[in-house]
Amino acid sequence: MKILVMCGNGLGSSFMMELNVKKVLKALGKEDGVDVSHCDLTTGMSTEADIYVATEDIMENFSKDGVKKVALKNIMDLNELTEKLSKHI
Amino acid sequence: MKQLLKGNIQIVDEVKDWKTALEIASQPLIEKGKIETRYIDAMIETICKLGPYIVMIPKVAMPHARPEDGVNETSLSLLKLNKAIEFSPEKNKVQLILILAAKDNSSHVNVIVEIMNFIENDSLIDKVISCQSVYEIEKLLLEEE
Repeated sequence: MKILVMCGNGLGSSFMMELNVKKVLKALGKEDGVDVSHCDLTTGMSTEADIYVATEDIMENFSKDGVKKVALKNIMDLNELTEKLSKHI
Repeated sequence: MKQLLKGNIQIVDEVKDWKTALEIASQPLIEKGKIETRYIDAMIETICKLGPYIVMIPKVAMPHARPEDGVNETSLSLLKLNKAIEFSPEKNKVQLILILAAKDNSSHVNVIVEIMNFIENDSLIDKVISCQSVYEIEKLLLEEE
């Protein structure tokens, strides 16, 4: 399974979210076979993934349809991430 | 993170809007030649285009743009505002602006991890916000593990 984390520039907040996604996967015991990477929004539009993760602001600009999306209010809130991510995995 | 922040911390009472806050916060880095003025324009443009996604937790904004937007050296600056400003109707209580400039896509990785440790520590954030002087903030952050 591939999880893609996106942000505006692909080097700051997306990396932080990637680290948090990995933390949450580990806590849920689901990290095996899951590839987590990060990029900017534009690259994300043309990259295939099973689940896309971004803040709500960025997700509003992400116009891919028919894909699984996790939109976060607070990227440091692991409870929010756990709740929203576990719906898709 | 501490090394990067040293000498780049400011406190300002209030500013008229978030763009001014970004400009002020970037000044130490401009003066030291770490970033070019066009980096400030790039950060502002990204926020105008994509919304204030850089307000990742309620009181802290971490504006940043890409290395090729005018970064000479990986650097970090912190501006504390005594009066909170608004980036959007929902993100209206920002008091800390952390300007991040990364020279390339990998050299800042350690810095990001340290920044994460800082921002996930709610009580530390509140302590920084309650500091009255740059000296107090430096003491708090430089002494934190």
